[in-house]
Amino acid sequence: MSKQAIGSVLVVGGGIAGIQASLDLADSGYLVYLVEKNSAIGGVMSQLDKTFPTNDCSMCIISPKLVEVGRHLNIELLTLSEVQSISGEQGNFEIKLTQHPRYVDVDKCIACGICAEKCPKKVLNEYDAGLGKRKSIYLKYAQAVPLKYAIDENCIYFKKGKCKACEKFCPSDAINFDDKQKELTINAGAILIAPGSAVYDPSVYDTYGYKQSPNIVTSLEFERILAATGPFAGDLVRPSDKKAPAKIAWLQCVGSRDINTCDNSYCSSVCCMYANKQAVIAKEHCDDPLDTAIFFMDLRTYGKDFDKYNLRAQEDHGVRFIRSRIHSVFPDDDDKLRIVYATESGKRAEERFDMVVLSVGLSPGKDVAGLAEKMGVELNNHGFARTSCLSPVSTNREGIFVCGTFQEPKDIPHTVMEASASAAAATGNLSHARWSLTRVKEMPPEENVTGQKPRIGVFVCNCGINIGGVADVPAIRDYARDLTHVIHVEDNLFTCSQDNQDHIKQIIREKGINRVVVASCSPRTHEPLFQETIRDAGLNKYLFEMANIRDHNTWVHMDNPEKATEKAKDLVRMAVAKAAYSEPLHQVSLKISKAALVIGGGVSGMEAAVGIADQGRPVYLVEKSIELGGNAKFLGTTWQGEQIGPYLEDLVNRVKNHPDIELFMQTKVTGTTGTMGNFSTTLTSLNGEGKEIKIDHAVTVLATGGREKVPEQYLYGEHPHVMTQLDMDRAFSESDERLSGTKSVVFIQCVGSRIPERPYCSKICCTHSLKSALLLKNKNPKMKVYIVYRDIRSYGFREELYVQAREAGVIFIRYNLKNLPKVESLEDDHLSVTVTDHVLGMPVRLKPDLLVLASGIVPNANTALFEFFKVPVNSEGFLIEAHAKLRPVDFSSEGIFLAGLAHYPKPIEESIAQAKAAASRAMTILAKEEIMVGGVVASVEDARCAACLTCVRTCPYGIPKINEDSHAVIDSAECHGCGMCVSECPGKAISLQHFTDEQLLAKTSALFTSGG
Amino acid sequence: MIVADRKSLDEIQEMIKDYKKILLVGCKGCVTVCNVGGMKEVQVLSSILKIARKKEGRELQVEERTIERQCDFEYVEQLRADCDRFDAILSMACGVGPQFLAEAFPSQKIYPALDTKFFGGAVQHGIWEERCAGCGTCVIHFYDSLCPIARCAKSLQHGPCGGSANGKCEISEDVDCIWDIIVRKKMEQERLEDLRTYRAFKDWRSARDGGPRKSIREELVQ
Amino acid sequence: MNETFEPQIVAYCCNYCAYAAADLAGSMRLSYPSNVKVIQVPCTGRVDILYLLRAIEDGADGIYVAG
Repeated sequence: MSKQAIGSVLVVGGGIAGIQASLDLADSGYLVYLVEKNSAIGGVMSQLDKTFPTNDCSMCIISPKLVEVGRHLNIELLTLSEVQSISGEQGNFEIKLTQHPRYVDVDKCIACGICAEKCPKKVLNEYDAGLGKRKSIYLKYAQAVPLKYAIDENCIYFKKGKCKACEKFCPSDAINFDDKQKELTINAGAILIAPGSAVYDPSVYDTYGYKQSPNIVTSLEFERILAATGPFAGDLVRPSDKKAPAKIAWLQCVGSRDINTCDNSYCSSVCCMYANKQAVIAKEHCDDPLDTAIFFMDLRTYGKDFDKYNLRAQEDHGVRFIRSRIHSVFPDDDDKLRIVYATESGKRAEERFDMVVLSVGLSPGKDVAGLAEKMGVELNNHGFARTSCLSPVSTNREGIFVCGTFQEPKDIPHTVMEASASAAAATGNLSHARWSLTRVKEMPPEENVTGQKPRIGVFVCNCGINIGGVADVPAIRDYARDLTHVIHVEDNLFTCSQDNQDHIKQIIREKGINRVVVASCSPRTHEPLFQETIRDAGLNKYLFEMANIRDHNTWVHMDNPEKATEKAKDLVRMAVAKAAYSEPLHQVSLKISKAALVIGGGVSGMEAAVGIADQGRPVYLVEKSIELGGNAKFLGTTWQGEQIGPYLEDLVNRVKNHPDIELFMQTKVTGTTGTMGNFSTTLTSLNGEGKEIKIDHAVTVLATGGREKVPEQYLYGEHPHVMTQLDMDRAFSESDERLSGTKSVVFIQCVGSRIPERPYCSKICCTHSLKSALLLKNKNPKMKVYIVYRDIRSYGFREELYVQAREAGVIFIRYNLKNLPKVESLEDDHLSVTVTDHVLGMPVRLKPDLLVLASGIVPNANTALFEFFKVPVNSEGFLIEAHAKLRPVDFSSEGIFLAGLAHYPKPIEESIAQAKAAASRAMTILAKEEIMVGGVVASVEDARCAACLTCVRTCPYGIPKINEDSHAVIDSAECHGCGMCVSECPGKAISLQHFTDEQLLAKTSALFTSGG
Repeated sequence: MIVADRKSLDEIQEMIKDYKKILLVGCKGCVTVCNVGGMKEVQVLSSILKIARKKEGRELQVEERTIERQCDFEYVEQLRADCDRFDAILSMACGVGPQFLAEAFPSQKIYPALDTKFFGGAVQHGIWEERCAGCGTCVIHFYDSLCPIARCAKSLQHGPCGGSANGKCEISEDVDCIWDIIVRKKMEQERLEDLRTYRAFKDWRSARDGGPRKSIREELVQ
Repeated sequence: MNETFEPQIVAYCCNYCAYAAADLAGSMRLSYPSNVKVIQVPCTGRVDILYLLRAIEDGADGIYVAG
């Protein structure tokens, strides 16, 4: 079957999950159909203001990915489209799609916005979560991809048969009221579903008063309030009176962790962190001190650096955390909102706030049930995709995979990880068809301009009336004529229009132009288009410059056309000055190795190895111990109850028998050289005489794992009946005598976690204890089981275990750091655990037969290995990924990836997903025969280099090295092109191509020298 | 390497206040490595001086050159063709540079733009520390390669003085007491007994105290 | 300096953030004085102190480095 497999993949949903999956797939040799039901991709992430725990601007980090999708030759973006039906099977599906009419011709629309300005119909703006208004013809948001308007069903012409104001005013004739719904049929070898989830609608509750007061908002509405692009332009004001609030409350778990009819019983996983973030960011928005209070049940800040964020929120920012579930919000007559709650000591308290944010959870999307039915994909009892912990991105139907919040509520990094994982899983059976459907662009040979005097052509764009309606474009054009080296000028209605591209090519050839300047909009959106045009005309793409006379000029100086004209002249002069120094840059192709090195033979390492080997690439898997399997050897079941033993056995067999995996047991890495594409690593056998072997590989996956910390407290190792969770699992599997006849068991949570020495949550221990407690209760329902905890962090659907445990009669007693449980061995050798009960406020003494310590996870120390690969670790010893949000399995150093516990504590399902993700990321490199290097990178002029180490010490990526000839070398394959070393070099020995001193000084200087 | 800092702008401006056209000369040796006198710093100082002069309403012409080393006459010679075109030469080398320039071009006015500080190295980017005083008779083998001559405020050879407290020298909390470090290292290596050895008076004649020094290596002298 | 003093301000903006922010200001039609001229750099790390000085020498009244 796999021989007839089709080399294309359908991705349903254009949120961050669909985006990441599409990019991975397209970069590793598959044609992608990305289907999005809205008019633009970006999903919920594009609506967020900031992202935790780094407080990065959400739009700033997602926008480059949006652009990449929009421009990718091998991603066919189908917006306003929905899946109607599928047939066929894994390897060859046929999918019928409906594409709804946009009524705007995407080839003609230049997103000038005049249509929306003229459109008389206002509707609620769903991008602003309904807080603001937009027009019936709209662009979803300023950075939308595709950057094309669309007309919705509220259009007056559709309702009443007349208006067409947009058509009348559209300068590029792009409005098409005759646009029709299209039925499309596509074929794909696999399908990924990433439709995301919906935001819980709190209007079903009367008691929260969401409908009664405009100042009670959902958390998504609050994101839009905080956002600079939001309804109030980033001013934190109350919707009712637009005045700055002095007190804001967040109510957690709205629509989550509740079992009333209209609620969701699960935990939505992300709300605790976003509330933390919103409170901190809200404070930053206010000049006057803002009082913020978060009312919560359990604080579930379980992810990487989340607890630290929470501590900063409390200690540095003074965010108040009040443990109380709020049932009602009472709007008072004076516009204040009254909250009544019970304090820790059980007393009734009352507080009044100016605003209340409902931390609403994630619900299944409203269309996903229908979609799942069409796909033949099963849902779980919550309405999300049903998956197994041991194959976390696979659905019940072969060839159809899921990722993101459709699988379970989760945060962005986990979503991105799963997106990559699903890309790897989806293509596991398609590798024969890789590159079979991908498109390649043919280019004419490049003209050699070396030594030629600059002959610059300047094209000034009117952008309809966006530029021409404000600035005097003919005057700008004529001004440019007199600038040095300029041999051709013209102005265009739309320089970016398709016919104009052909015209530009023709002019370049006719007039022998060797540098091109376009004065129009932003290079961020349009430079690639024009670069492609001049490349088609035989010019190197770096012989191009842009002057942004729209976004940075006519759009922001509309009220002063004269000044806008003058500034446009300045900007054109500056661009021409830089263009005169532009030189062609050439990327060179570098042959790369085909193999991957995976370090670590636990579940993560083995899954990554199999993931890569299944794609037909050789893998060297290195394990330092004598046995494969890592921690999974000690685990019984997943939280959903799947047996880990048989899975592990199967995985080990696949690794051992895979023709493309070469296994090195009892081996360690003792050195490495090279960079992405061509690493050379020395492996040394730990067995016997220490045989050394050198291997060449293109990528490296670090899956070096972690382990349960050996507790240093609570009589561990001193009293035979004190054990860790893994000891307990072993006791279960070995029918340990300590379990027989046990009448009472106490679990203590957060042993060695969430303390100043290790200020992180180990993520898995709450679920593990709940699972073990239920097993005990199952064995003997009369057994007394106590869980002594700080916060129960059974996130996502794991909340089911918490509910079951309470129903089964497990007793939960909370403690805090000031009041740690006391464990003693009594005279009769019986254990005693004393803990202050949070309800009674009194010490309670328990005398368990068994004490289980939920000890945290610590990373395996691999200092030397991490130094070989120059990968960073945080203060707790966990590896630091390239970006906490969007590059969760990459390192800043290209070609090195990570997975599993070495990154952060996580349950097996997340380790598997991360390992598959690492395989997917690795395949974006391994799929290629060669990589292109060079371009905008730093290069060293040897004669000027003093070998002073300034570049070595200042490069944020650690790329420059001093070579044996005593000068710096910067590997163009690795250089990120930031230019930091260039600016710092005391000998002026380094230059950054395309941003040379000459170019930037010429550009700056040109601003102050009017005239040619 | 020789570590230097740039003189204050006021001081440099005062030196060149009467001149309209100066030659600013950098050095590709030590001062490039310590980020104070290479081509980049020459460009920066040149620009600063011109701006400062412009503020006074006068003009300053500066030409920039950076030569291989200012402590070798052959390289200094490269400036000869141009040097008369200038009212003065400002050197961005260590103290050796201006003197070599002055010797090569006796009729020209030569000024230093740097304060030469010490022999040392970079402990991290942007921080240099003194390690050698150039005393002419190295004794660091007695002290596990830690130099009390350069790194003890009093150049003591037989242990710390009473001003050593908590590992710091009494002159400043930012200065480590080298004797504290020496003693600790000896203790770690269980060689504390070494310090019982009496050291003869140091012959300071090989240091600056013996007057200007010269090194003649007969085999190299032609 | 006369009463109609119009400062010239050069803004070196990182392509990834501040330049994008300036684009966004355009999309949102946020008005600001036309005296500011943006120069795109790949990263603010590329902004050499020399550029700031040369800009002042050339006549800049203010320089803005944003990233």
